[in-house]
Amino acid sequence: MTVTEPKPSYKYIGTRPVRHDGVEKVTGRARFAADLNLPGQLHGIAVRSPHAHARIVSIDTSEAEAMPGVKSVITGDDFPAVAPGDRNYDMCVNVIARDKVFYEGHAVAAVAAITREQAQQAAAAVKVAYDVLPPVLTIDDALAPGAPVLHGHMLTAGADPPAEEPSNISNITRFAGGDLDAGFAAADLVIEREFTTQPVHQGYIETHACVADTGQDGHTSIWCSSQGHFNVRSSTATLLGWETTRIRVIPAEIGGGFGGKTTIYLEPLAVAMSAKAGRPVKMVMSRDEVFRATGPAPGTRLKVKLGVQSDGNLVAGDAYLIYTNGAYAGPGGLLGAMTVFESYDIENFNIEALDVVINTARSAAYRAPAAPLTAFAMETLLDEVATELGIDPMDLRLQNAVTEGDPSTMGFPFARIGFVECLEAIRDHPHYTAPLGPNQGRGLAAGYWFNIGESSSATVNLNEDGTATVVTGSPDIGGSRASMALMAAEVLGIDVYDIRPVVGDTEAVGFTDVTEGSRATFATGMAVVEASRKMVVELRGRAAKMMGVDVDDIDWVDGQAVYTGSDGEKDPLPLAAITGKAKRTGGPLTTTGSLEAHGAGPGFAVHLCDVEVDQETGVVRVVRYTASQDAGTAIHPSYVEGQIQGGVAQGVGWALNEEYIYDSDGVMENPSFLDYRVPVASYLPMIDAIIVEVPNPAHPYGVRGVGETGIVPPIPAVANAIHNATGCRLRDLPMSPIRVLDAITSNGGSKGA
Amino acid sequence: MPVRVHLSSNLRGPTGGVAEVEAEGATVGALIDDLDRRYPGLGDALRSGVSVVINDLLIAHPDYEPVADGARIYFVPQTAGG
Repeated sequence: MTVTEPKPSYKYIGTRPVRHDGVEKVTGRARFAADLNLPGQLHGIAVRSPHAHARIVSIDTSEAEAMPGVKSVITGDDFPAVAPGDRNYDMCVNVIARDKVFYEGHAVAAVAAITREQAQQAAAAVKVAYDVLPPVLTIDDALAPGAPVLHGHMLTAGADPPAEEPSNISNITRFAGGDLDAGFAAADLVIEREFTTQPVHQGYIETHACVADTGQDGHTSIWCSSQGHFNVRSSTATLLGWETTRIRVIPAEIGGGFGGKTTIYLEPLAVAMSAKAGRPVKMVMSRDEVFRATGPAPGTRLKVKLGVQSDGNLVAGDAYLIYTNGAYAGPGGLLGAMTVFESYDIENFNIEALDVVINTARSAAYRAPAAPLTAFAMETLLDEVATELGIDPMDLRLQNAVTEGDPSTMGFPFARIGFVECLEAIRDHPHYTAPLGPNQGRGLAAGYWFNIGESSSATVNLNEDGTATVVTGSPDIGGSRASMALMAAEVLGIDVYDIRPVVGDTEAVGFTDVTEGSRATFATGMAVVEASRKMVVELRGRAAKMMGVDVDDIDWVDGQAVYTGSDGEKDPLPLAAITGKAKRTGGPLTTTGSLEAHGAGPGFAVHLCDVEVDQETGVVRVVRYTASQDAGTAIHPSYVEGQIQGGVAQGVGWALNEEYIYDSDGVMENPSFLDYRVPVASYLPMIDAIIVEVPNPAHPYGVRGVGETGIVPPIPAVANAIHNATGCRLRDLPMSPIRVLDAITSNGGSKGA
Repeated sequence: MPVRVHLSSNLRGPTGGVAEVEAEGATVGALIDDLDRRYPGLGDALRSGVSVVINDLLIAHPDYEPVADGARIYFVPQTAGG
């Protein structure tokens, strides 16, 4: 279902062709990183710390090096030194530890051998002597007076007065507006609540994998799965101290990333071992390694206070947010501060956010980083306000929703946004008024995410027969090949299946930033449109030459050159007629588009969730779910719907099941999908996705990013639904059966006070 | 010609908490140089991890963006994503 405001009539954009890479993927022919094998290839295994916090006293690799089949063993000493405080320090020492390990699973060495089994045995023979330090595992641990300090160089950024002693607080962010005291004084209702959430993993199905092949000329090729192969190149070059030009990165298909593959873990290890051994090295993480050593989303403790007038007008908001970012500094608190009140027009506000480090794996981005958690706090609080004031939760949100021209938390006025339209789409959906069954409840929640632009490149090559190849530098993590082909088809006026969209390697296409911030269809799409428009200019010139007329008298209409001059009638020249004579009119037809994309339009989403709660076990089942989201313009509606549905699925898992469980030494106790439960298809109902289209004026076709916003509302939508079903407010994640049952029991049963 | 510059509240230390100030510059980079002269230390804060909103467009790397007469400039923290 699509809600659309008036927009130009498109021929290809908005249609739903089968994705160009679809057959390869459903028949198992698509090649993911672990599918690649090279002649003479070795298998690499990382040696990982069993301790959450320890000083490395020594590493003895001699026994491992002497074992059968072993061709290369490396440690941190095989990489250039990096000074604490260097802007690349965190990334470098996270890939391979130097003097300290900061979490269980931290790589300290790596081994490459002829077989994986030989590598595993040799890895076990690497002797690492540790001086074990007390681990810092929670927010309370990190902030306790006299707590062990993870990084002796870490002075709190943003501290006022400036920090003079190191601590586990990496950053403090403060935003304020209006007069907070006056705002609360004007309120008729003030509610303050505290929330806790646990780290969760992105849960991509494909584990991290790569193959590196370093030649005798000192150049290396890396095949890997990532969200940005140019980023893999630059990060690997930084870690190795190599010139960028020595590294070529060839993108494999990606089996899920969700933000977790915007950084690197294995590639520098594989390259270093390949260079040492003179043979290709393949590394594939186990699921256990993925859980222990790759980035979860932060855990949090959030305190939010709202002041509301009796008519529902929000007049004050105060938030104190603490985010754990794992072992190194991260942006969780900053992004939480930027999102907590962003969806609503609250004149008087104060936000303080702390980023703290603890001895767990370094956090990595996860769809709309930090925002699902602030939404959990804000949107459940709004639900409580609505209940207290006897106002419909939809009306409360409509009354306070930001619209064009309203100031953001950072001060700038919003451009054209579609929050109200998303709310109205849910309000007008049959689901909103559908009857509920026994033990069922309904929850409403909204969400916001910024989206970003950054750099992208594209090349359009026309073939002799009038077909086209569109090469971009963005890995296809969510159907972007099809979107790129659709935008090129719209400009060139040729069928979308006459266009072959290709993801080019780092030597085949211009620089392109990592796919994050929902930027691929927005920014890389802009590059495709730019290259395609240049191609149309070129085609008009070639056609003018062939017709012997002035180029100003040539229009490009539906894939052919049309003469519009006054010198009689001339037959239009179809594209294939022009490409077929390219050699005679100037040579190959190739154009490029490279740009830094400005004006990524913010995304809003509104979700409606029905749950059924088993009163005897506390098990919560989502029985109906409807989600609206502003896509600006949906280039390929099926993949917009897919992004919405995927975000909901992950958000429901975050709400109900998922959490890292550590023992008292900081050792993860549930590093498998048996013990860390993500929702599977049978666990969820069909998710009804409503695409709202409020075009982004900064994009030639109105695109807004859609990959992240869909994960923001599900946690509070589920929490509000559980309250509606049971009368219980749950403010700690996950809302597992035991927590729900405890809440029901202590609340005197379903629909208690 | 001076333009109005709005600072998100986490960037207002060097201005003593003042949200909106005036500055001159043909580009955002020149504007930052001028702001640093008027409010010592503000330049460092604005040259790293900060984006600009000009005429409704969020620009992540704005140093060479032209600043037109009458423009309103908003400095905001840079965002990332997943």
